[in-house]
Amino acid sequence: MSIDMSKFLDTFFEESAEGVDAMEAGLLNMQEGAVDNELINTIFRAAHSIKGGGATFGLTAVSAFTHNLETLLDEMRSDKRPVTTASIDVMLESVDIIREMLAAAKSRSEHDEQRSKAVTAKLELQLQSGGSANVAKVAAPTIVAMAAAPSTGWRIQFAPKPHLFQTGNDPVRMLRELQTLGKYSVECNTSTLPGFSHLDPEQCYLAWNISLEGDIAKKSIEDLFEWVDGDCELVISPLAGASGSATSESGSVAATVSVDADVSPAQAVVVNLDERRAAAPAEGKANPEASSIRVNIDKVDALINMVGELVITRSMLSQIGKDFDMRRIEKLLHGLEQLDRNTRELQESVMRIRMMPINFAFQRFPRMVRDLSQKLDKKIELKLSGEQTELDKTVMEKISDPLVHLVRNSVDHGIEKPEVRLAAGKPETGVVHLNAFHQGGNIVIEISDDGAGLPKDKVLKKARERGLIPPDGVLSDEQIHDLIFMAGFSTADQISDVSGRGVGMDVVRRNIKALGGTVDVRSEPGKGSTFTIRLPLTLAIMDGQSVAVGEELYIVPLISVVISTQIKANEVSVIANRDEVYRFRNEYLPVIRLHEVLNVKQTTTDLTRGLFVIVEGDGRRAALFVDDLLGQQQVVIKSLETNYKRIEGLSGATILGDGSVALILDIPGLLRIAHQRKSA
Amino acid sequence: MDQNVENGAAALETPATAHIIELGDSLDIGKIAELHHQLEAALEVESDALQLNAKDIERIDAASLQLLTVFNIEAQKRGLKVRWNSPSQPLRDAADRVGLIGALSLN
Repeated sequence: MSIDMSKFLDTFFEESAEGVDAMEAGLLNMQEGAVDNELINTIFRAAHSIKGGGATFGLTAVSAFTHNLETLLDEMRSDKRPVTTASIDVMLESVDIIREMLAAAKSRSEHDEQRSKAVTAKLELQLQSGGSANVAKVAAPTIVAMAAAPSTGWRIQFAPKPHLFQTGNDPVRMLRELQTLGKYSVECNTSTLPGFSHLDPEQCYLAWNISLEGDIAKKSIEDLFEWVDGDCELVISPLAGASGSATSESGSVAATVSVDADVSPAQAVVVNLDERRAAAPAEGKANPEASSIRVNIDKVDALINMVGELVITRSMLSQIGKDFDMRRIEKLLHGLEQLDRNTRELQESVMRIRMMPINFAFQRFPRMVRDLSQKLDKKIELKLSGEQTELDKTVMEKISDPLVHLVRNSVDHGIEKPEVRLAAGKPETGVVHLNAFHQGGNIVIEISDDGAGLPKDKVLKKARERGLIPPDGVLSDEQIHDLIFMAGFSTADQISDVSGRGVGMDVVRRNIKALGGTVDVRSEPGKGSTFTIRLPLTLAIMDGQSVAVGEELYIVPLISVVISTQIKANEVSVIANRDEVYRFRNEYLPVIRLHEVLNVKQTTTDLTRGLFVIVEGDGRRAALFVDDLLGQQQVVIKSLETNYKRIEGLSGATILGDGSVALILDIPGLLRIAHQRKSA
Repeated sequence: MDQNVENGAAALETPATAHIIELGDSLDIGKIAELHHQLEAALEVESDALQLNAKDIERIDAASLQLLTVFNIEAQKRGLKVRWNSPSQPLRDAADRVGLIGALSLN
């Protein structure tokens, strides 16, 4: 078995992306003057894994760059340097650089070397200034005590764990580094080598006893071995001297670098991430392009359970089928019921695998809001809630950009400058709140701020200027607020690079609509605005109402159905001798005869012999005239575009239980067609 | 690998000559299985001596050195002579660094 390093490289990139996010999230939680060792440790561990992995895969630029950052963190952790806003800023910049370097390495392109050099210089400047304040308080006294009094040399007992080679670490390379530190002599213990026939060439059987003479700081030796933390037993003790044997006893305990074994670096990252999630639920992974998803083991177990149930049901059914007679019909029906339940549960479990907590989309916001508020001179607190709310991975990827836009909008337009807020009797710090929750078959995401609210008059004025509404039209508050979603609308007095380029809100609405969702805004002057996004949990399956039109069967998305009703002749009127309208709850709805729009033969054209399905889409309602209602069911959506071609008024197709194909109606599209036909 | 089998066949015909093992220019964990098979096959060849062609080795890692060490011990156990053919400097340096010069009979 040979090892395919490229496979590990992908994993490394994926985990490093998580590591970088973890670092960023950690740094954002760091506060000037406060040394939160747990937090720094989390950031340190992530940096450390990236550095180690980078070196293993030959990404020397990444590991060299990360090294400085790590040193800085290490000094903070050991109280040798205070945590300052300036250092946090530099570290955040460094995180950006690491992210860029990794992205460049992944796409085999060059990263911006000048930029990384500039940040390296900043890091070095940080390192040179303000360090070594408080050596007495150092966390690991043994190491420091030894480092403070460098001996004339060290004995290094290095016994790799069998899996060391598989982690990509090569003792030849490690010992070469060691050789450069001082006078080096080595003994290799080959006594544990097995015979040729018993040898697994990928396992490490060797161990080394090294003596290194010279004025060497212990730390520099430990640094060389830090990448194999947990993959080896390492004892570093002073060479010779009277204290020799005593130190190697007590010293070996103190200086054994081996942490809990059997955790490969890759696993370690996962563990770190889990800790991080537990500590700060606001964080998570954000790699929108990730082609793989990490699935909670519980979900997989649930799936395996389901399959187990299914297998039992199958054998039960085949048992019944073997020597079937009519007396066993009840058992058969029972078995089929169970099969139905099993498949439904299995389907749900499989769908759940695609579901990811929304914090994967949320977690980029703390950094964004921090940067924006600095840029705009505003004080803003970002609150996140409901981050564990799950939604489909595809939906999540597609909702990220609209969300970014809405949050930027809240920060830029919503929250006022501190002085304005104070003058208005509000706290200086504004709050932007991101909230997510499930409601019915939807996920609802709210972006609210306690800012100035939408400037109604300004919106109205602009809309009139642009001819979006008639000059004397009277609009309700709701309608005015809705204007901001119209194309080419922006009220920002000054065009900034944050928002206000006149594109945006209409694109936001269009993107959300494309996902089958809606976005609305509520706003109160002086109190703030709330944008509410409603999205279907998944794009692959939906609840549908099947309806018959002549010989054909169509699916109406249940989300669009308001009500289905029998028709009384006196409730339908004809306007201008042409258009039919249906009176529904004091409202007149246009009647759409589906057979006309879809051009199929209908059994009856007499309205009173069919049914109306009242549907809603794009804020408009209509009464669809169909022959019959056939029942509600979940349907798996198959793309028409992929399998055939795009057809106006239809959003897709599905395969029914009997194997026939039914088309799924696109209600907003259908309303549009009907409207065009009427006005034509 | 194929070339080695051919070599092996040649060696079968003329057992008096040394069986030659080409080590190439770079030996690392990624190719360890290949090397393992190569050496395993060499041990099965009826020959008095095994010759390791190592003049091209530019890079070698500890896993490969360990494998060659085990091979060397095994060959000696079977009464086979292992001969290095002009071992390269990088090979000597690496073996020296990990303290395997003796075990590899490179001195």
